[in-house]
Amino acid sequence: MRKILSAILVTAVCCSVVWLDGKAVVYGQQTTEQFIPMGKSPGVSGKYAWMGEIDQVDEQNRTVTVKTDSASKTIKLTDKTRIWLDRSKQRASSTKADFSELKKGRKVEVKYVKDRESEAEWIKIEIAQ
Amino acid sequence: MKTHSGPYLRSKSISAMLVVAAITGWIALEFGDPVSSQTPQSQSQLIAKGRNLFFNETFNGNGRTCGTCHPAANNLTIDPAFIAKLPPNDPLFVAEFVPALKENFEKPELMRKFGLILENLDGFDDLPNKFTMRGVPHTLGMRVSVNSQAGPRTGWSGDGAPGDGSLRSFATGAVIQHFTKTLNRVAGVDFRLPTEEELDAMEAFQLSLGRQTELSLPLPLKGEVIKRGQEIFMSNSLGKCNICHFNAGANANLPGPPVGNFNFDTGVENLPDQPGRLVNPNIPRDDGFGRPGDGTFNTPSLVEAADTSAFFHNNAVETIEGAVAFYNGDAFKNSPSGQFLASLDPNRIAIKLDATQVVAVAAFLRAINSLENIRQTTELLEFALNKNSPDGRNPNQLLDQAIREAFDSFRVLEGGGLQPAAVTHLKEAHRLAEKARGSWLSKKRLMREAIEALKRGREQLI
Repeated sequence: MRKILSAILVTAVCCSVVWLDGKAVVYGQQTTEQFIPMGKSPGVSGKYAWMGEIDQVDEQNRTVTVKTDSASKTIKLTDKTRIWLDRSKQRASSTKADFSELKKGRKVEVKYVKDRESEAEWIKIEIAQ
Repeated sequence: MKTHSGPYLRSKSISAMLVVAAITGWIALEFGDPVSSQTPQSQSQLIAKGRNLFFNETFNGNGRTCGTCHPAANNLTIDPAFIAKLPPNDPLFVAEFVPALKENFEKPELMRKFGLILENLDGFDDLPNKFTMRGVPHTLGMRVSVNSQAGPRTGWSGDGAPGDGSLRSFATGAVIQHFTKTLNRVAGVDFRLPTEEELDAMEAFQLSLGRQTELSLPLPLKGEVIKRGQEIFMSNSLGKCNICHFNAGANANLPGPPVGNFNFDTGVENLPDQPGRLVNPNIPRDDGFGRPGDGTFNTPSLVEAADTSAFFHNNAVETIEGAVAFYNGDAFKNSPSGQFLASLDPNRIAIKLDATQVVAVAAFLRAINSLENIRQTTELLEFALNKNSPDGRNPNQLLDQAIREAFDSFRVLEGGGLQPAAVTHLKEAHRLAEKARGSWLSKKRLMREAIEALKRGREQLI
């Protein structure tokens, strides 16, 4: 009886853990990410993120088309997408931003959501001047 | 001119040569070059580089290093007793003497009284109101406590690193959060970010710290209370500890393939009379993993717990006995984890241990911590004897660390009134290691004797 109870307990805890884990989204510490200049995000830049220049902005569908060195990519923004102004070239603090800051011609770095390459986890917009 | 001194001189020369040879031989034995290295040279150099960065590199910031909050002299963590010994100009206290960091960078009173550090885990857009106060977790045994099926888990809520969230990336976030000269946090102005090579080296160093493998419970422990503590710890119907702290580590023990390190909401934030909030009732609630948080926190390893108090993410409990007793209280009972355990129990009890059982589990944790201290002390002394440090430390530096570990090996037992015979031997090992540190002629002999005393101490525990 004790063995059965133990087995049930362990299985149930397992289910709970999987539920807890599935519920949570793994971000990494997104908060300090804000202050990492474009192209410098450790383990992400050049691997799970790409850089380019904004070519088109579709406010209605909340998509942005970005020209990279090799291709043109369209990425969708969701409620969870974080946008920052990278002002490190101005030697100024990076700040939170919103969709309206995504303007044609601006340089951006886009980190896509794991396993969903057409969806943005975060976007950094370079403010150089 | 012929003299009669030839044979005499030859004999004198031979004697002199013998003496020189004997001295040279002794010096070679005592201070000779490394015989061999167990670690490949490149890895050894990487770890040594990482060690140097960890303890000495300020990244052009406010003067702090990783070692400011993770000092080697205090098990890579800080507590009020350690903090009290620091000079007022220690970089830990930058909020007290750098005007730009006076507000919203740290809470000096909470730091000094409870070892709490300020973190902006929910963002930097409302510094006066959005922050958490957390203890400093040690960085021991990370090779066996960071990985999970859902990716790496770093820091108290498992989401401590920017970038890819890995241990390697952790230093980047730490520099931004803790090393900055001003709250603008501009890279290249307030600090510099670690380079890729520096991140590699610091990761290698951190992974080299402490245990490299998990324990395999049950251990053939000695001492009735300690043995009973292990039984309670491992029982899925009584202590239920081994489910989340498999083998007293940081990984969960679940059916199927290994799941690694996990987060749980155990209700620590609901504890009444938390020390930090007794001083500052306005500390915001810490919502744990994610943004907004889901209330869960990372499972720490328990092998190293007894000598790295205080406990939980907010340093809410000072003693290991208190930390075990937490699971008897309403905060845990009413938490998602506690309620879940209760729903599976025939008597609807989450965890219920009487005082003797609480003390027994704590005694078990004290014993395995002491065993880990003994393992580390022995290893450090052997490295010092053979001069084959895996991280570039010289014999005296290794001895310094061995002395601290030897001290902890009996301190954790004494604190619980456990195994006095072991304590006697371990105190002797500590005394011999200290003596070796100050000795020039008998260093090796004393280190060997210290290792023997450690063995005798260990035999009283296992």
